Amino acid sequence: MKPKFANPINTQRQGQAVSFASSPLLASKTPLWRSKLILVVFGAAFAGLAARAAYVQVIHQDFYQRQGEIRFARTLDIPASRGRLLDRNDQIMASNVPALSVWAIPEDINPSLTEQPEKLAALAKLLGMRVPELQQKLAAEDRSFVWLRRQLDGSLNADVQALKIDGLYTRMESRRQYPEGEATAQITGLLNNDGKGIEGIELAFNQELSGQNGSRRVIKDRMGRVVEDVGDRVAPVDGQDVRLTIDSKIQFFAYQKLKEAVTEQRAKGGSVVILDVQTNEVLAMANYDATASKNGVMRNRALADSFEPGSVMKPLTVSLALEKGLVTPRTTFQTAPGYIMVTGAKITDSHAYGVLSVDQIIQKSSNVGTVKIAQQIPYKDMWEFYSALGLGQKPALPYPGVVGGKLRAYKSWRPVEQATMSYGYGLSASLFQLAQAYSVLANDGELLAPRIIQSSTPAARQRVMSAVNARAVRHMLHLAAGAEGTAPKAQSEGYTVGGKTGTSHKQEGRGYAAKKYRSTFVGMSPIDAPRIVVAVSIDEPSAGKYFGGEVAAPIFSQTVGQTLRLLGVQPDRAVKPQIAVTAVEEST
Amino acid sequence: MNLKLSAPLRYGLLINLWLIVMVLGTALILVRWQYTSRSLFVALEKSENTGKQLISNNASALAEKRQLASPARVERMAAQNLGMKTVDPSVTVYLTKP
Repeated sequence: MKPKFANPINTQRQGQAVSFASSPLLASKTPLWRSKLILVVFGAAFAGLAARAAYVQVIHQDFYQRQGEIRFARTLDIPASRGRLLDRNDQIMASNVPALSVWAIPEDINPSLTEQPEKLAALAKLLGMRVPELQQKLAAEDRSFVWLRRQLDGSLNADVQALKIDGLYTRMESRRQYPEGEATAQITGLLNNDGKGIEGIELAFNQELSGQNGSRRVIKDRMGRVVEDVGDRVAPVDGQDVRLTIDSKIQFFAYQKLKEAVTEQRAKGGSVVILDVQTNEVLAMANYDATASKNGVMRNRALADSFEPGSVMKPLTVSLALEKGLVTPRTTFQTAPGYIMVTGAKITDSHAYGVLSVDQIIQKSSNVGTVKIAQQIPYKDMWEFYSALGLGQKPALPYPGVVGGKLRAYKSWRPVEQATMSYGYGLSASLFQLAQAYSVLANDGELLAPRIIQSSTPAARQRVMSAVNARAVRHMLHLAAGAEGTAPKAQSEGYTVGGKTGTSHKQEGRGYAAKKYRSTFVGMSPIDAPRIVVAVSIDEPSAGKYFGGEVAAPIFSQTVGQTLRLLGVQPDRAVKPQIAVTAVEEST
Repeated sequence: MNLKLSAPLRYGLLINLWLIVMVLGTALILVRWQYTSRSLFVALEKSENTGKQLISNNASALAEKRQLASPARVERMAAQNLGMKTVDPSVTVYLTKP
């Protein structure tokens, strides 16, 4: 009988070939339980996988997601871009530009710099530091972090990175750039290292300019690279641009003339304010502080400093007397013998003028005449009128550090105080307040709310005096700036002007300094239909001249001409042309 | 070959084979999808950063342009290099509208 299973070796030995497919081994009948077992095992494995997947992804999804996020998810801030400051013609006054900040880990950087001193010198040069200064910063071995320099020009990043110094790191930030430089510095203000406004418009409008930072939740890989966004992204809200009413060209010109005058007169500082009469917008507010570089102070003197204005108050006192019907421009007063006694105090004029009309009192700037006019006015009326002009109250400008000056309540006034206030002593005001008060005269008796930020809504108006009386006072101001007045140097080529000088002693302790003055001139142009009011103040001129007509009026003159030209106002005064015109025959 | 499998075993093996193929297939697709997703994300990040950089450069260029055209610089160059002076009404021709 043939064996059921032939031995293949034996079969080979016997020389008989058997194909693999017909191998009897394969033909054997597999027990059914084995196939069922495999089926069950594989089925169970898949079921296990499915159960685990369901456990991980459905039942405990939150836990695993949270654990994953703890290890790899990060919340990143998306910084909002700070808004720009623009002038009235949309020229940039402040803008953000890329900046480089460089930091180091002293314990890492020091060994590499010790080995390569040439890199230390190169780094110091790039950072704009001296080598010993840089070495001093890196000397603190125990510190694990030190800023080497912040807010550098962003383009230096590649050069710093090219040095390949261990332990030296860079970070791109942004910094504020002010293209107009020092001419607008006191208006724009500045930011601190964290990008927050600390002075000027930057501080006043910090919230609007800053915007709102956004955020995003991301997954980072082991190398710290962002590989995936998770969750919702909160988009940043960029800061708004702030449009000022300042005209940067007028601002620059005013600043330039002011700086020249302060330097020439060896003064402590000065300010110029230029208002557009039609809208009461601030066209320029230049400040120059000769001592700023020494003490680091950068304040807007035109708004933050109050002083006794002196004779520039006289036209305002006369305005009230006209308004009350107490005098007319032709009413005369005896000012001889050049002084007047008020409750024991002697008030004097620089000359004994004799009989002067109200026009002439302003033209000659007579203290005696002004006091005699003021003595007819009740205290209350005088206080109310000065208050209506904005004296004693902070100007409604959104600007930090604005002062309101000092105007005491009329109930505490004494006769001598009323007398001195009528010509500008015993009360104080900022230069801006004086410009605002004169804008009433320029605006035919109406006071407009001042503006330094552009707005489409018309400015609120309030009538303070009649147009007839405002025009009458303007005529007096024109006389004061004429050949017979106190400020002939205020005259401007091509434009009629009017204004009043002020030369006041500076307060020192309880009294007045004998040789310290503040020279002021406030005026307007063209005088028949004013377009601008210009106020100039020079603090402590010490080069010999100190009268407002000598020191401040020339700045007024130059500023008026240039400003009106830039505003496109045609001259209202005949000018001798100096233009050489060559006629050219037109070819046919 | 006379490999005779019982029907349940045959169907069971086929199902398991199909499931293995499906698992491997979906795993490969998942890996591929993840790779594509991250590649696209990185590209998007790069584009966004480039966009931010360009906006930043634009702001920088505008500020620099303004600085170069600032009245102070123009005035200085006009006076020093070209010998010009500030205009005044005496050297200005005012035209009236017809």
